[in-house]
Amino acid sequence: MMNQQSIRNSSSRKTQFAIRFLRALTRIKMATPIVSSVQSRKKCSRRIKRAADTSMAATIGSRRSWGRAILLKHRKQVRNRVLMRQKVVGDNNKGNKTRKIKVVNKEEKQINKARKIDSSKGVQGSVNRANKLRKLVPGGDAMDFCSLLEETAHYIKSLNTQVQLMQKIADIYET
Amino acid sequence: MNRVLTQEMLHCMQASSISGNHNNNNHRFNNGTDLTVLERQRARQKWQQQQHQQQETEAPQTYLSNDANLFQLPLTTSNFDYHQGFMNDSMIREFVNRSMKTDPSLENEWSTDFGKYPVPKTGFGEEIITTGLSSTSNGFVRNNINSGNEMSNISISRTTSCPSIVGDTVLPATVVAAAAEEKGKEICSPGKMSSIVGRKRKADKAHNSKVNGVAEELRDKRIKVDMTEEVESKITHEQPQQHKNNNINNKENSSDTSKDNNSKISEVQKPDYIHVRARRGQATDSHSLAERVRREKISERMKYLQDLVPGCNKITGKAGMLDEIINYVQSLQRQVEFLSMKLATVNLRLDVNIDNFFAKDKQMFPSSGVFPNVGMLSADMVNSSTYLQSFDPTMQEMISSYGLDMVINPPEMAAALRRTISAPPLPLPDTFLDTSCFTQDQPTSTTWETDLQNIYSIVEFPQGRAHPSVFPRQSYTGSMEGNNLKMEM
Repeated sequence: MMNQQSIRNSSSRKTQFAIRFLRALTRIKMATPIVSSVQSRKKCSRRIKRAADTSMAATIGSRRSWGRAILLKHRKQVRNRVLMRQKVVGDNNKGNKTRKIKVVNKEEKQINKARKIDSSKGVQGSVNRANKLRKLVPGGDAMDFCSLLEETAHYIKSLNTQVQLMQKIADIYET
Repeated sequence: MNRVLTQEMLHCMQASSISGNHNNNNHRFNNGTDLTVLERQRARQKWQQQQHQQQETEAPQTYLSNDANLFQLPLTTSNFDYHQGFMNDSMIREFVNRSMKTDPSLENEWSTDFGKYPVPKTGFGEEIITTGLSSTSNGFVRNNINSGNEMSNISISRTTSCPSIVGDTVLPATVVAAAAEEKGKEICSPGKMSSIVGRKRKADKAHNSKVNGVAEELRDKRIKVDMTEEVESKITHEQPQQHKNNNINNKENSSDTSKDNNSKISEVQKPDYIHVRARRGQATDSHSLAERVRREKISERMKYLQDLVPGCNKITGKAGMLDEIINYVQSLQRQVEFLSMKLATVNLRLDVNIDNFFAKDKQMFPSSGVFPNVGMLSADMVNSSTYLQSFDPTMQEMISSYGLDMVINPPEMAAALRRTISAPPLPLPDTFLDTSCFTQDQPTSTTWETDLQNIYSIVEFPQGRAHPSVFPRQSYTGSMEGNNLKMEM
């Protein structure tokens, strides 16, 4: 690992990302059932996308705030899933709790949505565009415009590499 | 002795400015500091000469000397390297605390002076500390560290020599001890120097009148500063800028102690505003300055993004650029989505095939049936993707270890291997072609040895297996030969 850390150029980052992503892919493949319906395929694609995002973020590390945001989101999701599973498995009788949690989550989401609508309604012009960009870049909600641009630049770069790599992998698998 | 010291410092500053000239960013700033620092140093020299003439001791004088120290502080903070900066911060904090505590013990004039600045004291400390932090980011040369050390030592010893405080604050015992012990000795090391300076501070303290004189002098200097501000923009943009900062800070800042401190704060803050230029007629209050900095940063980043986003070169204007950037990011994200869908379908299709294929192969001919595909894979990778090259050896390693019946590999990697290996479902004739491909590739794989090691470290294989890995490959080629033989038959 020391060797890896000392290199840290873009190519090594790429390979790191590739390894992570391939590992995640195989894991996903293992997990998904062989029977391919439309629904399962959708789910699978979503999972793959998430895997790609998280592996990219993991390769970037927590140096960038967008990477941090993705990782945090991922961790939250995992925790939620684990919690839910525990709840469901642990006390089937007390299904109310999980329901409560769900309800709370929904409420939070609604509140967030309302907030977002408010913020997007209130402004116009370049500020509106900046808000748009904020939504696109992960973790952009909490950034000021200056750092948002910086993060966007970095994000675009890494997205580019991600796309390239995924393209390559897809090509390899297809042929 | 002080003169020697100051000259040394001057040298240091010049050196830093010279070295900074290589860097465009630092260039102007250093020039600016150089000038102002020169000014200040001269003033200080004069003042110290005057001080030498007077041998009396009194409290306010010591306080003033402290001020003079503060005067130098910006130098130290700006010169500091990152590691030093941290130390320095704590020092400054101490310093600030002390200087604030001396306030009540001072005599009338000074207290009246303080009365002019009734703003809360905490602001001052924060000010200095934060700027000290920011100044650590300046890329200065390491040569300056020493001078910085010396100066910081001096300043500390001076503060410790301030009579009214010593009891109040918790001092680092070593510093106090050094100051106490080495009073009589001459200068060899920075620590000793500092102690001596401390002694001098104690020894020659001046009358109030002297204090007044010095204060006058300082005021004169400030007036001078104002003058230069008027002259402004003819010489450099930078220097007036700094002076403006001075003024701003004087006006609105939370300076509690004295004017000297004010000017010091502003000097410490300089690094924040290095690249701002206020031309004639531009607003100079802090808000507009900050705004200007922000705008400059934004435009800089916009330029960078312009390079990054294709087709963004022709577009002018922030709004259009932002639109283009948004579109690009969206398109990239959509692409990722699309690709993930593609991968899902591809893999799913393969997944169905994998098991059948793999099982069949296992039954028919365990070694040869699997390998050709992988060979094709790796060959494909070599051809298609340049940056996957370094990843390629892992594949090979997987293959080779597979040759050893997956004894070596962790289960996960083995699983991965199975997937990757059996990924492309191919009829046998194809595999024949591919095996030839792979055998051609075989010699080149030795050149990847270095890469291999890296990859090993990535995949967290034990390093020692890098070279033994040749062995499985050989065995594998043996199996390949068997395969070829089979094909030929």
